[in-house]
Amino acid sequence: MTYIARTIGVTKAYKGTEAVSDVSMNIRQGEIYGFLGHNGAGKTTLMRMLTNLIKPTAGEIELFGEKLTPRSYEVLKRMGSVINYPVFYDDLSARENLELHCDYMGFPDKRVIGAMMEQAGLQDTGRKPVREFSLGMRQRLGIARALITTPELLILDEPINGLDPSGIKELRDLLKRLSAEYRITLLVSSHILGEIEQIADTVGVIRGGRLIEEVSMERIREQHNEYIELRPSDVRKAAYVIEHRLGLSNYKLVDGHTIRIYDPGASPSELIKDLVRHDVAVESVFKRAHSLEEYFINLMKGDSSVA
Amino acid sequence: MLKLISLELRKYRFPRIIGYAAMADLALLLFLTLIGLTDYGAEDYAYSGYPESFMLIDTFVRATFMIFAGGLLSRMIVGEYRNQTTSVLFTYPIKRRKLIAAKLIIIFAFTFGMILFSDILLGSVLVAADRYHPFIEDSLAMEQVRALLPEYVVSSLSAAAMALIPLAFGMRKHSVTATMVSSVLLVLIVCSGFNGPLVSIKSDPAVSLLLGAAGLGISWLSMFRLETNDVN
Repeated sequence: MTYIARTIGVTKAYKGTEAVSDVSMNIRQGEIYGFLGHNGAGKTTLMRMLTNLIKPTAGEIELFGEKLTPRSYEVLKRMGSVINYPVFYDDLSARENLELHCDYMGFPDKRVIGAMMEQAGLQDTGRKPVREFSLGMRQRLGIARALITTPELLILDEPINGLDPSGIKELRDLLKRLSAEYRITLLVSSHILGEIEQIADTVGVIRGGRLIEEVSMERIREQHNEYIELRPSDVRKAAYVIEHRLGLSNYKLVDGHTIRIYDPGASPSELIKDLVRHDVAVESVFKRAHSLEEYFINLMKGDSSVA
Repeated sequence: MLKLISLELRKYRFPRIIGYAAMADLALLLFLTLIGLTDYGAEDYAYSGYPESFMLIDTFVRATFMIFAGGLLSRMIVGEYRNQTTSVLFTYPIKRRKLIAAKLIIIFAFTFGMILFSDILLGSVLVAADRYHPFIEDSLAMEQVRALLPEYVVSSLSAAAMALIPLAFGMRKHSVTATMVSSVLLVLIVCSGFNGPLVSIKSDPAVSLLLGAAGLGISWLSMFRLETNDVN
Protein backbone atom coordinates (compact mmCIF):
# COMPACT_ATOMS: atom_id res chain seq x y z
CA MET A 1 0.00 0.00 0.00
CA THR A 2 1.47 3.33 -0.96
CA TYR A 3 1.20 6.37 1.20
CA ILE A 4 0.00 9.63 -0.30
CA ALA A 5 0.90 11.64 2.74
CA ARG A 6 2.99 10.88 5.75
CA THR A 7 4.21 12.89 8.65
CA ILE A 8 7.19 11.61 10.54
CA GLY A 9 7.51 12.87 14.09
CA VAL A 10 6.13 16.25 13.14
CA THR A 11 6.14 18.90 15.84
CA LYS A 12 5.03 22.49 15.68
CA ALA A 13 5.83 24.79 18.55
CA TYR A 14 4.71 28.35 19.04
CA LYS A 15 6.94 30.20 21.47
CA GLY A 16 7.86 27.03 23.29
CA THR A 17 4.38 25.51 23.54
CA GLU A 18 3.75 22.64 21.23
CA ALA A 19 0.55 22.82 19.22
CA VAL A 20 1.37 19.56 17.51
CA SER A 21 3.82 17.12 19.08
CA ASP A 22 5.57 14.26 17.42
CA VAL A 23 2.76 13.28 15.10
CA SER A 24 3.38 10.40 12.75
CA MET A 25 0.45 9.97 10.52
CA ASN A 26 0.05 7.74 7.50
CA ILE A 27 -2.51 8.42 4.82
CA ARG A 28 -2.82 5.68 2.27
CA GLN A 29 -3.71 6.12 -1.34
CA GLY A 30 -7.41 6.13 -2.05
CA GLU A 31 -8.65 6.06 1.49
CA ILE A 32 -10.74 8.47 3.47
CA TYR A 33 -8.76 9.43 6.50
CA GLY A 34 -10.91 10.81 9.28
CA PHE A 35 -9.11 13.16 11.56
CA LEU A 36 -10.84 13.39 14.86
CA GLY A 37 -10.18 15.71 17.74
CA HIS A 38 -11.65 18.44 19.84
CA ASN A 39 -11.41 22.06 18.82
CA GLY A 40 -7.88 23.21 19.45
CA ALA A 41 -6.43 19.72 19.48
CA GLY A 42 -4.10 20.57 16.59
CA LYS A 43 -6.06 19.36 13.57
CA THR A 44 -5.90 22.60 11.65
CA THR A 45 -2.24 23.15 12.50
CA LEU A 46 -1.35 19.77 11.10
CA MET A 47 -3.40 20.36 7.96
CA ARG A 48 -1.75 23.71 7.43
CA MET A 49 1.59 21.98 7.66
CA LEU A 50 0.52 19.46 5.04
CA THR A 51 -0.33 22.29 2.64
CA ASN A 52 2.99 23.97 3.40
CA LEU A 53 1.33 27.06 4.86
CA ILE A 54 3.23 26.61 8.08
CA LYS A 55 6.49 24.82 8.56
CA PRO A 56 7.07 22.14 11.17
CA THR A 57 9.51 22.90 13.98
CA ALA A 58 10.72 19.33 13.86
CA GLY A 59 10.01 16.21 11.87
CA GLU A 60 9.33 15.59 8.23
CA ILE A 61 6.38 15.59 5.92
CA GLU A 62 6.18 13.44 2.82
CA LEU A 63 3.66 14.09 0.09
CA PHE A 64 3.33 11.72 -2.85
CA GLY A 65 6.54 10.10 -1.71
CA GLU A 66 8.57 13.29 -1.72
CA LYS A 67 9.84 15.28 1.18
CA LEU A 68 8.06 18.59 1.63
CA THR A 69 10.38 21.58 1.86
CA PRO A 70 9.65 25.30 2.19
CA ARG A 71 10.30 25.48 -1.54
CA SER A 72 8.03 22.69 -2.67
CA TYR A 73 5.53 24.14 -5.07
CA GLU A 74 4.86 21.58 -7.77
CA VAL A 75 3.32 19.19 -5.29
CA LEU A 76 0.64 21.76 -4.49
CA LYS A 77 -0.83 21.23 -7.95
CA ARG A 78 -1.91 17.76 -6.95
CA MET A 79 -3.74 18.85 -3.84
CA GLY A 80 -6.93 20.65 -3.03
CA SER A 81 -7.80 22.01 0.35
CA VAL A 82 -10.30 23.94 2.39
CA ILE A 83 -8.63 24.74 5.64
CA ASN A 84 -10.28 26.40 8.55
CA TYR A 85 -12.90 28.83 7.35
CA PRO A 86 -13.37 28.89 3.58
CA VAL A 87 -11.97 32.23 2.41
CA PHE A 88 -12.53 33.91 -0.92
CA TYR A 89 -11.99 37.22 -2.62
CA ASP A 90 -15.17 38.61 -1.20
CA ASP A 91 -15.80 41.30 -3.77
CA LEU A 92 -15.81 38.79 -6.59
CA SER A 93 -18.60 36.44 -7.59
CA ALA A 94 -18.47 32.68 -7.18
CA ARG A 95 -17.58 32.20 -10.83
CA GLU A 96 -14.84 34.83 -10.75
CA ASN A 97 -13.35 33.18 -7.70
CA LEU A 98 -13.31 29.81 -9.42
CA GLU A 99 -11.81 31.29 -12.59
CA LEU A 100 -9.05 32.94 -10.63
CA HIS A 101 -8.38 29.69 -8.84
CA CYS A 102 -8.06 27.76 -12.09
CA ASP A 103 -5.70 30.36 -13.50
CA TYR A 104 -3.48 30.35 -10.44
CA MET A 105 -3.42 26.57 -10.35
CA GLY A 106 -2.50 26.46 -14.00
CA PHE A 107 -5.61 24.50 -14.82
CA PRO A 108 -6.67 25.27 -18.36
CA ASP A 109 -10.15 23.76 -18.63
CA LYS A 110 -12.62 26.54 -17.89
CA ARG A 111 -15.61 24.54 -19.03
CA VAL A 112 -15.73 22.60 -15.80
CA ILE A 113 -16.52 25.75 -13.85
CA GLY A 114 -20.14 25.82 -14.93
CA ALA A 115 -20.62 22.16 -14.14
CA MET A 116 -18.94 22.60 -10.79
CA MET A 117 -21.13 25.54 -9.85
CA GLU A 118 -24.16 23.51 -10.70
CA GLN A 119 -22.98 20.62 -8.60
CA ALA A 120 -22.41 22.95 -5.68
CA GLY A 121 -25.89 24.40 -6.16
CA LEU A 122 -24.48 27.86 -6.83
CA GLN A 123 -25.44 28.24 -10.49
CA ASP A 124 -27.96 30.98 -9.70
CA THR A 125 -25.68 33.26 -7.76
CA GLY A 126 -24.72 35.24 -10.87
CA ARG A 127 -22.77 38.37 -10.11
CA LYS A 128 -23.51 38.29 -6.41
CA PRO A 129 -20.29 38.86 -4.49
CA VAL A 130 -19.17 36.07 -2.19
CA ARG A 131 -19.34 38.57 0.67
CA GLU A 132 -23.10 38.05 0.70
CA PHE A 133 -22.97 34.24 0.76
CA SER A 134 -24.14 32.21 3.74
CA LEU A 135 -21.70 29.96 5.53
CA GLY A 136 -23.21 26.91 3.86
CA MET A 137 -22.79 28.45 0.42
CA ARG A 138 -19.20 29.38 1.22
CA GLN A 139 -18.55 25.88 2.42
CA ARG A 140 -19.93 24.44 -0.82
CA LEU A 141 -18.02 26.93 -2.93
CA GLY A 142 -14.87 26.10 -0.99
CA ILE A 143 -15.23 22.41 -1.73
CA ALA A 144 -16.05 23.17 -5.35
CA ARG A 145 -12.89 25.24 -5.58
CA ALA A 146 -10.79 22.53 -4.02
CA LEU A 147 -12.22 19.92 -6.38
CA ILE A 148 -12.25 21.81 -9.62
CA THR A 149 -8.65 21.04 -10.51
CA THR A 150 -9.20 17.30 -9.86
CA PRO A 151 -6.67 16.88 -7.07
CA GLU A 152 -5.26 13.54 -5.98
CA LEU A 153 -5.35 14.53 -2.35
CA LEU A 154 -8.18 16.56 -0.92
CA ILE A 155 -7.82 18.11 2.52
CA LEU A 156 -11.00 19.32 4.17
CA ASP A 157 -11.01 20.91 7.57
CA GLU A 158 -14.37 20.67 9.32
CA PRO A 159 -16.26 20.59 6.03
CA ILE A 160 -19.68 20.12 7.57
CA ASN A 161 -19.57 23.35 9.54
CA GLY A 162 -22.46 25.52 8.51
CA LEU A 163 -24.17 22.91 6.37
CA ASP A 164 -27.78 21.99 6.97
CA PRO A 165 -28.75 18.35 7.47
CA SER A 166 -29.47 17.72 3.81
CA GLY A 167 -26.23 19.46 2.91
CA ILE A 168 -24.37 17.22 5.32
CA LYS A 169 -25.85 14.16 3.73
CA GLU A 170 -25.03 15.43 0.25
CA LEU A 171 -21.48 16.13 1.28
CA ARG A 172 -21.12 12.71 2.84
CA ASP A 173 -22.31 11.08 -0.37
CA LEU A 174 -20.05 13.29 -2.42
CA LEU A 175 -16.99 12.41 -0.37
CA LYS A 176 -17.74 8.72 -0.60
CA ARG A 177 -18.22 9.03 -4.33
CA LEU A 178 -14.97 10.95 -4.78
CA SER A 179 -13.17 8.21 -2.99
CA ALA A 180 -14.88 5.30 -4.67
CA GLU A 181 -15.18 6.57 -8.24
CA TYR A 182 -12.30 8.96 -8.64
CA ARG A 183 -9.89 7.32 -6.21
CA ILE A 184 -9.21 10.67 -4.59
CA THR A 185 -7.51 10.38 -1.25
CA LEU A 186 -9.28 12.42 1.39
CA LEU A 187 -8.21 13.82 4.70
CA VAL A 188 -11.28 15.06 6.51
CA SER A 189 -11.22 16.53 9.96
CA SER A 190 -14.08 16.90 12.34
CA HIS A 191 -14.87 17.05 15.99
CA ILE A 192 -18.08 15.20 15.31
CA LEU A 193 -17.57 11.50 15.66
CA GLY A 194 -20.71 10.45 13.84
CA GLU A 195 -19.58 12.07 10.63
CA ILE A 196 -16.14 10.56 10.65
CA GLU A 197 -17.45 7.17 11.60
CA GLN A 198 -19.78 7.08 8.63
CA ILE A 199 -17.25 7.85 5.96
CA ALA A 200 -13.74 7.12 7.15
CA ASP A 201 -11.61 4.11 6.31
CA THR A 202 -8.96 5.09 8.79
CA VAL A 203 -9.34 7.25 11.84
CA GLY A 204 -6.65 9.30 13.49
CA VAL A 205 -7.47 10.71 16.88
CA ILE A 206 -5.55 13.75 18.03
CA ARG A 207 -5.58 15.07 21.56
CA GLY A 208 -3.52 17.92 22.91
CA GLY A 209 -1.37 17.90 19.77
CA ARG A 210 -0.57 14.21 19.95
CA LEU A 211 -1.87 11.55 17.63
CA ILE A 212 -3.07 9.06 20.20
CA GLU A 213 -4.66 6.58 17.87
CA GLU A 214 -4.48 5.69 14.23
CA VAL A 215 -6.51 2.69 13.31
CA SER A 216 -8.68 1.39 10.52
CA MET A 217 -12.41 1.57 11.09
CA GLU A 218 -12.67 -2.05 10.18
CA ARG A 219 -10.48 -3.05 13.06
CA ILE A 220 -12.26 -0.79 15.50
CA ARG A 221 -15.58 -2.25 14.51
CA GLU A 222 -14.23 -5.71 15.03
CA GLN A 223 -12.93 -4.82 18.43
CA HIS A 224 -15.77 -2.73 19.59
CA ASN A 225 -18.88 -4.07 18.11
CA GLU A 226 -21.09 -5.39 20.81
CA TYR A 227 -20.63 -6.97 24.16
CA ILE A 228 -22.58 -8.39 27.02
CA GLU A 229 -21.89 -6.94 30.38
CA LEU A 230 -22.77 -8.94 33.45
CA ARG A 231 -22.30 -8.66 37.17
CA PRO A 232 -22.09 -12.09 38.72
CA SER A 233 -22.04 -12.70 42.47
CA ASP A 234 -18.71 -14.42 42.18
CA VAL A 235 -16.58 -13.00 39.44
CA ARG A 236 -13.81 -15.53 39.57
CA LYS A 237 -16.07 -18.45 39.34
CA ALA A 238 -18.08 -16.84 36.59
CA ALA A 239 -14.92 -16.22 34.59
CA TYR A 240 -13.92 -19.81 35.01
CA VAL A 241 -17.30 -21.01 33.82
CA ILE A 242 -17.34 -18.66 30.87
CA GLU A 243 -13.92 -19.66 29.71
CA HIS A 244 -13.80 -23.36 30.42
CA ARG A 245 -17.35 -24.56 30.39
CA LEU A 246 -18.80 -22.26 27.75
CA GLY A 247 -15.64 -21.94 25.68
CA LEU A 248 -15.86 -18.15 25.30
CA SER A 249 -12.40 -16.62 25.31
CA ASN A 250 -13.09 -13.06 24.23
CA TYR A 251 -14.10 -11.60 27.54
CA LYS A 252 -12.68 -9.11 29.94
CA LEU A 253 -12.83 -8.21 33.60
CA VAL A 254 -13.72 -4.56 33.87
CA ASP A 255 -13.62 -3.33 37.44
CA GLY A 256 -13.40 -6.40 39.60
CA HIS A 257 -17.13 -6.99 39.58
CA THR A 258 -18.07 -6.81 35.96
CA ILE A 259 -17.33 -9.06 33.03
CA ARG A 260 -17.68 -8.05 29.43
CA ILE A 261 -18.07 -10.73 26.81
CA TYR A 262 -17.24 -9.74 23.26
CA ASP A 263 -17.86 -13.07 21.54
CA PRO A 264 -20.41 -12.43 18.84
CA GLY A 265 -22.07 -15.82 19.39
CA ALA A 266 -23.03 -15.22 23.00
CA SER A 267 -26.59 -14.33 23.95
CA PRO A 268 -27.59 -12.95 27.34
CA SER A 269 -30.33 -15.45 28.06
CA GLU A 270 -28.15 -18.44 27.25
CA LEU A 271 -25.42 -16.98 29.36
CA ILE A 272 -27.58 -16.54 32.42
CA LYS A 273 -28.99 -20.01 32.05
CA ASP A 274 -25.52 -21.51 31.81
CA LEU A 275 -24.14 -19.53 34.70
CA VAL A 276 -27.03 -20.42 36.97
CA ARG A 277 -26.64 -24.02 36.02
CA HIS A 278 -23.06 -23.77 37.20
CA ASP A 279 -24.17 -22.19 40.41
CA VAL A 280 -23.17 -18.61 39.66
CA ALA A 281 -25.80 -16.05 40.54
CA VAL A 282 -26.12 -13.09 38.19
CA GLU A 283 -27.06 -9.73 39.62
CA SER A 284 -27.41 -7.85 36.38
CA VAL A 285 -26.82 -8.32 32.71
CA PHE A 286 -27.24 -6.12 29.72
CA LYS A 287 -26.23 -6.06 26.14
CA ARG A 288 -24.32 -3.14 24.80
CA ALA A 289 -24.85 -2.71 21.11
CA HIS A 290 -22.49 0.09 20.31
CA SER A 291 -19.51 1.26 22.21
CA LEU A 292 -17.67 2.98 19.42
CA GLU A 293 -18.79 6.41 20.44
CA GLU A 294 -17.80 5.84 24.01
CA TYR A 295 -14.49 4.56 22.84
CA PHE A 296 -13.70 7.66 20.83
CA ILE A 297 -15.08 10.10 23.31
CA ASN A 298 -12.92 8.59 25.97
CA LEU A 299 -9.92 8.71 23.71
CA MET A 300 -10.55 12.34 22.95
CA LYS A 301 -11.15 13.21 26.55
CA GLY A 302 -8.08 11.38 27.73
CA ASP A 303 -9.76 8.78 29.85
CA SER A 304 -7.86 5.55 29.38
CA SER A 305 -9.91 3.25 31.58
CA VAL A 306 -11.99 2.06 28.65
CA ALA A 307 -9.85 0.29 26.15
CA MET B 1 5.02 37.34 -14.28
CA LEU B 2 2.80 39.21 -16.74
CA LYS B 3 0.20 36.54 -16.21
CA LEU B 4 0.38 36.99 -12.43
CA ILE B 5 0.10 40.75 -12.81
CA SER B 6 -2.97 40.43 -14.99
CA LEU B 7 -4.53 38.05 -12.47
CA GLU B 8 -3.91 40.56 -9.68
CA LEU B 9 -5.47 43.30 -11.76
CA ARG B 10 -8.53 41.14 -12.27
CA LYS B 11 -8.69 40.16 -8.63
CA TYR B 12 -8.84 43.72 -7.43
CA ARG B 13 -10.95 45.05 -10.30
CA PHE B 14 -8.32 47.51 -11.35
CA PRO B 15 -10.46 49.63 -13.67
CA ARG B 16 -12.33 50.67 -10.57
CA ILE B 17 -9.10 51.69 -8.87
CA ILE B 18 -8.15 53.78 -11.89
CA GLY B 19 -11.54 55.44 -11.50
CA TYR B 20 -10.68 56.32 -7.91
CA ALA B 21 -7.36 57.73 -9.07
CA ALA B 22 -9.16 59.88 -11.63
CA MET B 23 -11.39 61.17 -8.85
CA ALA B 24 -8.30 62.01 -6.79
CA ASP B 25 -6.92 63.97 -9.75
CA LEU B 26 -10.15 65.86 -10.08
CA ALA B 27 -10.12 66.71 -6.38
CA LEU B 28 -6.53 67.90 -6.68
CA LEU B 29 -7.45 70.12 -9.61
CA LEU B 30 -10.29 71.67 -7.65
CA PHE B 31 -8.14 72.17 -4.59
CA LEU B 32 -5.28 73.77 -6.50
CA THR B 33 -7.69 76.02 -8.37
CA LEU B 34 -9.17 77.08 -5.07
CA ILE B 35 -5.73 78.00 -3.71
CA GLY B 36 -5.10 80.00 -6.88
CA LEU B 37 -8.38 81.88 -6.59
CA THR B 38 -8.56 82.61 -2.88
CA ASP B 39 -4.93 83.62 -2.47
CA TYR B 40 -4.83 85.79 -5.57
CA GLY B 41 -3.03 89.03 -4.90
CA ALA B 42 -1.65 87.89 -1.56
CA GLU B 43 1.96 88.74 -0.74
CA ASP B 44 3.07 85.10 -0.62
CA TYR B 45 0.91 84.03 -3.53
CA ALA B 46 1.48 80.33 -4.20
CA TYR B 47 1.60 80.79 -7.97
CA SER B 48 4.03 83.67 -7.96
CA GLY B 49 6.37 82.05 -10.43
CA TYR B 50 6.49 78.91 -12.56
CA PRO B 51 9.09 76.98 -10.48
CA GLU B 52 7.05 77.59 -7.30
CA SER B 53 3.86 76.63 -9.05
CA PHE B 54 5.23 73.36 -10.36
CA MET B 55 6.63 72.61 -6.93
CA LEU B 56 3.25 73.22 -5.35
CA ILE B 57 1.49 70.94 -7.83
CA ASP B 58 4.09 68.24 -7.48
CA THR B 59 3.94 68.30 -3.69
CA PHE B 60 0.21 67.77 -3.59
CA VAL B 61 0.23 65.17 -6.34
CA ARG B 62 3.01 63.29 -4.62
CA ALA B 63 1.30 63.42 -1.23
CA THR B 64 -1.98 62.21 -2.69
CA PHE B 65 -0.59 59.28 -4.61
CA MET B 66 1.81 58.18 -1.92
CA ILE B 67 -1.17 57.82 0.38
CA PHE B 68 -3.03 56.17 -2.48
CA ALA B 69 -0.15 53.68 -2.67
CA GLY B 70 -0.60 53.08 1.05
CA GLY B 71 -4.21 52.23 0.30
CA LEU B 72 -3.15 49.80 -2.41
CA LEU B 73 -0.59 48.18 -0.11
CA SER B 74 -3.31 47.77 2.52
CA ARG B 75 -5.72 46.27 0.08
CA MET B 76 -3.51 44.08 -2.02
CA ILE B 77 -0.90 42.85 0.42
CA VAL B 78 -1.85 43.52 4.03
CA GLY B 79 -5.52 42.88 3.26
CA GLU B 80 -4.68 39.53 1.75
CA TYR B 81 -3.18 38.51 5.09
CA ARG B 82 -5.92 40.19 7.07
CA ASN B 83 -8.72 38.38 5.22
CA GLN B 84 -6.70 35.18 5.36
CA THR B 85 -6.91 34.76 1.62
CA THR B 86 -3.19 34.04 1.89
CA SER B 87 -4.16 30.56 2.99
CA VAL B 88 -5.57 30.11 -0.50
CA LEU B 89 -3.07 32.21 -2.41
CA PHE B 90 -0.10 30.48 -0.87
CA THR B 91 -1.36 27.01 -1.66
CA TYR B 92 -0.97 27.76 -5.35
CA PRO B 93 1.97 26.15 -7.10
CA ILE B 94 3.63 29.53 -7.55
CA LYS B 95 6.52 30.95 -5.60
CA ARG B 96 5.19 33.24 -2.92
CA ARG B 97 7.88 35.72 -3.71
CA LYS B 98 6.57 35.98 -7.25
CA LEU B 99 3.02 36.49 -6.07
CA ILE B 100 4.07 39.38 -3.87
CA ALA B 101 6.42 40.74 -6.52
CA ALA B 102 3.50 40.97 -8.95
CA LYS B 103 1.58 43.06 -6.42
CA LEU B 104 4.56 45.31 -5.67
CA ILE B 105 5.21 45.87 -9.35
CA ILE B 106 1.61 46.94 -9.86
CA ILE B 107 1.68 49.33 -6.92
CA PHE B 108 5.03 50.77 -7.87
CA ALA B 109 4.18 51.21 -11.53
CA PHE B 110 0.77 52.65 -10.76
CA THR B 111 2.11 55.16 -8.24
CA PHE B 112 4.92 56.21 -10.54
CA GLY B 113 2.61 56.52 -13.49
CA MET B 114 -0.05 58.45 -11.63
CA ILE B 115 2.40 60.93 -10.11
CA LEU B 116 4.08 61.58 -13.44
CA PHE B 117 0.80 61.76 -15.30
CA SER B 118 -0.84 64.06 -12.75
CA ASP B 119 2.17 66.34 -12.56
CA ILE B 120 2.14 66.75 -16.30
CA LEU B 121 -1.63 67.01 -16.54
CA LEU B 122 -2.01 69.62 -13.81
CA GLY B 123 1.10 71.44 -15.01
CA SER B 124 -0.41 71.68 -18.49
CA VAL B 125 -3.67 72.95 -17.02
CA LEU B 126 -1.66 75.60 -15.19
CA VAL B 127 0.19 76.65 -18.32
CA ALA B 128 -3.02 76.75 -20.32
CA ALA B 129 -4.85 78.75 -17.67
CA ASP B 130 -1.98 81.23 -17.49
CA ARG B 131 -2.01 81.61 -21.23
CA TYR B 132 -5.67 82.61 -21.36
CA HIS B 133 -5.74 84.47 -18.11
CA PRO B 134 -2.24 85.53 -17.08
CA PHE B 135 -1.70 85.41 -13.35
CA ILE B 136 1.84 84.09 -13.02
CA GLU B 137 4.47 86.81 -13.07
CA ASP B 138 7.31 85.11 -14.89
CA SER B 139 7.01 83.19 -18.11
CA LEU B 140 7.92 79.67 -19.03
CA ALA B 141 10.84 79.09 -21.33
CA MET B 142 11.12 75.99 -23.49
CA GLU B 143 14.44 75.00 -21.84
CA GLN B 144 12.71 74.99 -18.48
CA VAL B 145 10.15 72.49 -19.74
CA ARG B 146 12.84 70.32 -21.21
CA ALA B 147 14.73 70.28 -17.93
CA LEU B 148 11.54 69.62 -16.02
CA LEU B 149 10.67 66.32 -17.68
CA PRO B 150 13.65 64.25 -16.52
CA GLU B 151 13.30 65.82 -13.10
CA TYR B 152 9.70 64.70 -12.99
CA VAL B 153 10.59 61.18 -14.07
CA VAL B 154 13.31 60.78 -11.45
CA SER B 155 11.29 62.29 -8.66
CA SER B 156 8.21 60.22 -9.50
CA LEU B 157 10.32 57.08 -9.53
CA SER B 158 11.75 57.82 -6.11
CA ALA B 159 8.33 58.79 -4.77
CA ALA B 160 6.86 55.51 -5.97
CA ALA B 161 9.72 53.62 -4.34
CA MET B 162 9.47 55.37 -1.01
CA ALA B 163 5.70 54.90 -1.04
CA LEU B 164 6.45 51.23 -0.36
CA ILE B 165 8.02 52.02 3.03
CA PRO B 166 4.70 51.68 4.93
CA LEU B 167 4.69 48.00 4.01
CA ALA B 168 7.33 47.43 6.68
CA PHE B 169 5.02 48.76 9.37
CA GLY B 170 1.89 47.21 7.98
CA MET B 171 3.33 43.73 7.72
CA ARG B 172 4.51 43.57 11.31
CA LYS B 173 1.05 42.89 12.63
CA HIS B 174 -0.73 42.63 9.29
CA SER B 175 -2.56 45.80 10.13
CA VAL B 176 -4.30 47.99 7.59
CA THR B 177 -4.37 50.83 10.12
CA ALA B 178 -0.62 50.70 10.65
CA THR B 179 -0.06 50.76 6.91
CA MET B 180 -2.27 53.79 6.41
CA VAL B 181 -0.99 55.70 9.43
CA SER B 182 2.62 55.14 8.44
CA SER B 183 1.93 56.19 4.90
CA VAL B 184 0.27 59.43 6.06
CA LEU B 185 3.14 60.07 8.47
CA LEU B 186 5.63 59.42 5.70
CA VAL B 187 3.88 61.96 3.50
CA LEU B 188 3.81 64.49 6.35
CA ILE B 189 7.53 64.14 6.81
CA VAL B 190 8.49 63.99 3.18
CA CYS B 191 6.18 66.63 1.75
CA SER B 192 6.71 69.38 4.30
CA GLY B 193 9.58 71.48 5.55
CA PHE B 194 10.62 75.03 6.41
CA ASN B 195 12.21 75.87 3.10
CA GLY B 196 9.96 73.95 0.79
CA PRO B 197 9.24 70.23 1.05
CA LEU B 198 11.94 67.80 2.16
CA VAL B 199 11.61 65.90 -1.06
CA SER B 200 10.44 67.49 -4.28
CA ILE B 201 11.48 67.91 -7.87
CA LYS B 202 14.06 70.49 -6.89
CA SER B 203 15.34 69.00 -3.67
CA ASP B 204 18.57 67.22 -2.88
CA PRO B 205 18.50 63.96 -4.85
CA ALA B 206 20.42 62.20 -2.08
CA VAL B 207 17.45 62.29 0.29
CA SER B 208 14.94 61.03 -2.22
CA LEU B 209 17.30 58.35 -3.46
CA LEU B 210 17.96 57.21 0.08
CA LEU B 211 14.26 57.00 0.93
CA GLY B 212 13.50 55.37 -2.40
CA ALA B 213 16.19 52.78 -1.76
CA ALA B 214 14.67 52.16 1.67
CA GLY B 215 11.29 51.50 0.08
CA LEU B 216 12.72 49.07 -2.43
CA GLY B 217 14.81 47.38 0.25
CA ILE B 218 11.80 46.88 2.47
CA SER B 219 9.73 45.35 -0.26
CA TRP B 220 12.66 43.15 -1.24
CA LEU B 221 13.02 41.88 2.31
CA SER B 222 9.31 41.28 2.77
CA MET B 223 9.35 39.21 -0.40
CA PHE B 224 12.21 37.00 0.62
CA ARG B 225 11.08 36.34 4.14
CA LEU B 226 7.85 34.85 2.86
CA GLU B 227 9.09 31.44 1.87
CA THR B 228 9.99 30.35 5.36
CA ASN B 229 7.36 32.31 7.24
CA ASP B 230 4.22 30.69 8.57
CA VAL B 231 0.87 31.74 7.23
CA ASN B 232 -1.64 31.88 9.97
